[in-house]
Amino acid sequence: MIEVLVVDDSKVMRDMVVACLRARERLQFTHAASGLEAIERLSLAPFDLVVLDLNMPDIGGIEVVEFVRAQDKLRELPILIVTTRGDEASRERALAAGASAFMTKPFTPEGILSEVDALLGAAAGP
Amino acid sequence: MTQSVDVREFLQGFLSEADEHLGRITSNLSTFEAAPSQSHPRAIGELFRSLHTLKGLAGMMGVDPIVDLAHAMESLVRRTERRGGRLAPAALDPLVAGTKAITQRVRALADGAAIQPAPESILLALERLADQPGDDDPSASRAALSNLDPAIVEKLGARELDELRQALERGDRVLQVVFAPSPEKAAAGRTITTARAGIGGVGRIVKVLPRAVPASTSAPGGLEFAILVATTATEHALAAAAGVGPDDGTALASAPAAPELGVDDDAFDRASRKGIVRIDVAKLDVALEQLSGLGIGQLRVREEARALAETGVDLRRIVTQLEEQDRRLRRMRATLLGLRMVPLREVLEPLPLIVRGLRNTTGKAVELEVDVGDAELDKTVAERLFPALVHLVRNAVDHGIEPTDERRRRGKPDHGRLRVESVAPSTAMLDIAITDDGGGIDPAAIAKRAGRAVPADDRELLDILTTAGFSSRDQATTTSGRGLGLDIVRHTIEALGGALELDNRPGLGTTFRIRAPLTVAVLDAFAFVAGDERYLAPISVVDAIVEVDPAEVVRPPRKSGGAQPVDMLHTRGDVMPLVSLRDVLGLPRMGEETRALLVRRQGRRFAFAITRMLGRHEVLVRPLVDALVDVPGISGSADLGDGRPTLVLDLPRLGASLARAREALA
Repeated sequence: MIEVLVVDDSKVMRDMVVACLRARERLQFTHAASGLEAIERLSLAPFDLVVLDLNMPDIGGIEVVEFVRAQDKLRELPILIVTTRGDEASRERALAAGASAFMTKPFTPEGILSEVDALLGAAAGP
Repeated sequence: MTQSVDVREFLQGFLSEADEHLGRITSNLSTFEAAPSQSHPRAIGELFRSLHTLKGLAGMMGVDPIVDLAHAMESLVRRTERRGGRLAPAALDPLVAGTKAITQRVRALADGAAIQPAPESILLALERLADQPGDDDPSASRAALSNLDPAIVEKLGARELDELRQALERGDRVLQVVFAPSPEKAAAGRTITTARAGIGGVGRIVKVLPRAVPASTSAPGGLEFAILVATTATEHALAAAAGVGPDDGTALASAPAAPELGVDDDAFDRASRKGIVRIDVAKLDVALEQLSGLGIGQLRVREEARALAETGVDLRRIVTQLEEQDRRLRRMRATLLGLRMVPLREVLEPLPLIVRGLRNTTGKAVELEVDVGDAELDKTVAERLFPALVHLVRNAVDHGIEPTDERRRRGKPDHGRLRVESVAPSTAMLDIAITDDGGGIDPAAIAKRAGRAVPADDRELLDILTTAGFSSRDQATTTSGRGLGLDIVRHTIEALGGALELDNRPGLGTTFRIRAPLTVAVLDAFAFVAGDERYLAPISVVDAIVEVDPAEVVRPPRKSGGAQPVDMLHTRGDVMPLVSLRDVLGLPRMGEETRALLVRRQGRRFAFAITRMLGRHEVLVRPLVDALVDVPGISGSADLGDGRPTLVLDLPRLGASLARAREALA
């Protein structure tokens, strides 16, 4: 199974992400409702992909990316940013911090699936 | 989203989250309304996040007008955040208007109605403010925290630094607490999320910094969180709540010397499990309904036991058990009802913003004071009471408080005062007074307008004011006069089992007092049969149940046509109209009406003849209609445990409307 960590403070948004990705049968989903919870889960169990919101109540997505990239064991982990912040500055900051890909909300199932397929293909092959 | 995922599937989730965010937005805007000139970094941060999340969700749901509004508000708020949390005075109005516009569109989505585009005027006002240059200078607050470790300071944003600075100015100390996650802790339900919840109970978490550390037995994930807390709590209180050890907790910035904190794993457990769950009230209703079914089942068992006992079987031990079971059911009910309670203070949070809007539309100077202490009330009562309260507040500003020049003439201060106050409630009733220091009500003018005699007292004055359709102004003003009328306000309160009272002081002001039960969900009621139908009536309104002795009924001779005279019942040294409930409800004439329920309303007594009594039940009442679609005499429906809905009759109201009809005929 491919373990996916879906990080967003909105439960509906996490559910929507999972609903879109459910088309890929080998994916298994874990939810995290905050950036801190995401970091905690990543420290305790291995994941193959993180779908990450930027704007969250405790620490933001960029900080999560920065922290993850500073860890040796997480350096290669694919991180897909899915955010309402569609501006170029946010994209640049996220990619500079080490995010693997960046897409904006609202997203379509096709859009997020193709990003995820590309990331998983690049990382290990589906 | 397109074909393969249906957004409708997420509508309920969206509505519930949108509601939560709108509540948070209103509450944070109220913070600025209360102290406009101050900086509120935390409120701004929360505003920003709520708007941002709302925007994202609305985008997924394809509701562009909400996206537009949230985006414009968010841009303005972001600007404010850069200014250190100080909101430009002109910014509050458009933010409030934007919140209202979003709320309307969320409602429309919930009702399946068409969604109006975002009002251009609001968008323009927001954009104009967001574009204004400001003094973005986070370095100012950075300097103020010179005694903090620079390694930590550089990881903090302007908002967090502001928050720290304010905390230190207030006399809080800043402590750092370290939490290292492990699989064992996670399995026991101890995570960074529960740790934050525990610490949040005694202090304000300003920032949580994740730190990579060499993997060890104490930090097997190679991770620890440094949690920055601003707190006034004593070392012991903080240690008990957070459970940090001597090596885990350090003071970072404070006036007094840093304390050493001791480990207490049990305390940590206790504190960290203090989580919060949000529950849909509908689910609590289901639980209460199931409990009510249990109660009815219990009642049947008790009746069976009684019948069995009459045959001579010794059931003492079973009866003891049944009594114990009764007590448990009552405790369970109290617990469930407690879960539905919300603080009145939270319910009234939108009031300052509403009064602010009224100030703008009426041009009157008004100061609002809300002092409701710790009173709590049932969520359902709160939802039904709130529109009535808002109406009374609007009325007070619109009709009560005079324009400034008139106030000066009367020797009153320029600012009108409006006070919403809750007197310490009894265990069952809520008591809210809405007082203004305006001109009061002129009884003679009201009487003239209504074409009635001048009322003798405030009770009669209130009766006239709450006559359906009565309005004290020729034309509806912009703020009052639309929406609920005072008659509906009164009915809403009475339908809840409460009462509206008036204390009118002409020239000096008016007080409306609302008394309402803290909960409506469970009703102690009599079940009875009228005609061939089952009904319920609250025990609280029934003065007595009497046998109808034909010898005590005076039946005036019937007339050949038109309205029939009313039978009178002589009972308990009193004479009162005896009305056949069967006839009133238009039911077939089945069975003798051998009993009567005595009911009193505003000093008048009525006897309602019924076919037979079925007993006393605790039932869960569901409102049948909202206050605007009024079914006279019926206040809701309940389930007696067999799945058949039984109507709950509002007998006092039924009696009053019959009396009015008779007066009209006479």
